[in-house]
Amino acid sequence: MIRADDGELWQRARQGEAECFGVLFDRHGGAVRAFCARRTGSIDAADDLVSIVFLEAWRRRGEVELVDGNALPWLYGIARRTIQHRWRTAVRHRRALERLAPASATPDHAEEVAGRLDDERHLARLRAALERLRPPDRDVLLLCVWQGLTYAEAAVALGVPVGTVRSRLSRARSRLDAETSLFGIVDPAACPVATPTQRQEMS
Amino acid sequence: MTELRSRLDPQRQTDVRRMLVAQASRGAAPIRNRRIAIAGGLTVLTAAVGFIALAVDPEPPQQNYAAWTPVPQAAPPLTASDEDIEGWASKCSDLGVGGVGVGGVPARREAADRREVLVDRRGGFTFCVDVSMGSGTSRDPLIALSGLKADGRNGLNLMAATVSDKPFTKPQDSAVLVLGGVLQQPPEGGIQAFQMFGLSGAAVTGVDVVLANGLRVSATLRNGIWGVWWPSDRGEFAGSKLHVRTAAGVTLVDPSTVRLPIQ
Repeated sequence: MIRADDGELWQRARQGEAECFGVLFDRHGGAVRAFCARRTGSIDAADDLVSIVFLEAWRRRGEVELVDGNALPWLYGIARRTIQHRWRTAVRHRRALERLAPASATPDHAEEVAGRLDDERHLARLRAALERLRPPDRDVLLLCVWQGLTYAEAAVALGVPVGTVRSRLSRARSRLDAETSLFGIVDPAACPVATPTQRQEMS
Repeated sequence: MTELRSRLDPQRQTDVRRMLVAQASRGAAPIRNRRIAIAGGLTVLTAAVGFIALAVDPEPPQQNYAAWTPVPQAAPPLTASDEDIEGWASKCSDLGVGGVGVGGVPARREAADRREVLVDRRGGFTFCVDVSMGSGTSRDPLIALSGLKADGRNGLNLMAATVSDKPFTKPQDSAVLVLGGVLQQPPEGGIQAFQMFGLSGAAVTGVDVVLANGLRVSATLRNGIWGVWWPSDRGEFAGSKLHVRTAAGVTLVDPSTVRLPIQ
């Protein structure tokens, strides 16, 4: 099951193999969490949002749109909308979320604590830089540069034409040039044109 | 490029996964199509036709309407820069109402074919009206959504939605039809935006709302859809009239007499 592509997993999950949905969470939960963290600037918010995003994805499973058998762009699109309307979406899934135990305030070992602190610092710098951008440009930059989507995948995530992705990225890049050099952030010109051949999986 | 140094707490990861699998295992119910999902999402709409207005921004509502103007700004011409045009469109695409985005450019072609989006700009505020012109049946309802957003804010401060699964007659010639809006008086001491939107016949060249205090507020009109809003401190909705302009002259209409009926 681990080797099945996302399309097959979605299909099997919809046909009643609920475990397939768990595998999709294993596969993409980390990337969705990272996107939520960068979009909100908060690790804690991301920890809460990742479950909401997947619940919302399941609710919208009839609309799933895959690019080359990859559900991640579509999940980013769900995440983006969920972040915009997080309170409303959370209310929608309140009953499911009530089944979760409250998140622990801090992880219980030093390495993880240090990692979270590093992430918080990184996110604070990133947030400061991104606040200079218009929200549509910011989304493109996050998806293409930090989440590693192709133009086509970002277009699916954002629901806009590929040309719009290119123009928004170009604008974001020109406005962020100073910040990226200051922070040592990945060169925004690095948005890959082809589907990445390697994607990190958590499982 | 997706890595953070920290991971979701392993216990939390396990709990979330278990919850998601449980949710998926309960997912045998048929998937509603997108349009039905919209209507279903508005759970208060048990009537055949319903109107709903919600404050959906979790942040305190925008109350500084000083920049509001009774006449809307002109839309940018097609020769305007991409950035100007995109600026207008993106304001609308950021609006999410009733489970579907109010998109200046709907993402899906089949949805775009059915939807008309009106954008009204006044002094830093964007008011969007999105009408999905269904045939008025339970499977193909009329859905009209509106939302108001202030520059520099991510959330809506007020939205309205109308869903109708009863046949209706589109206004002809110089007639207008009020589809919905936010027309209730705000709580004492508060300021909110009154909203009104609807359809107009082909002969209609303009729609104004003239408030009881005499203030004239011009609606934005495009492709047979009109929309207008004003801050409640500029005048109440009660006693207002629609001034419907055509080449033949102006007709005064009481908006309550041309409102989409609730059956």
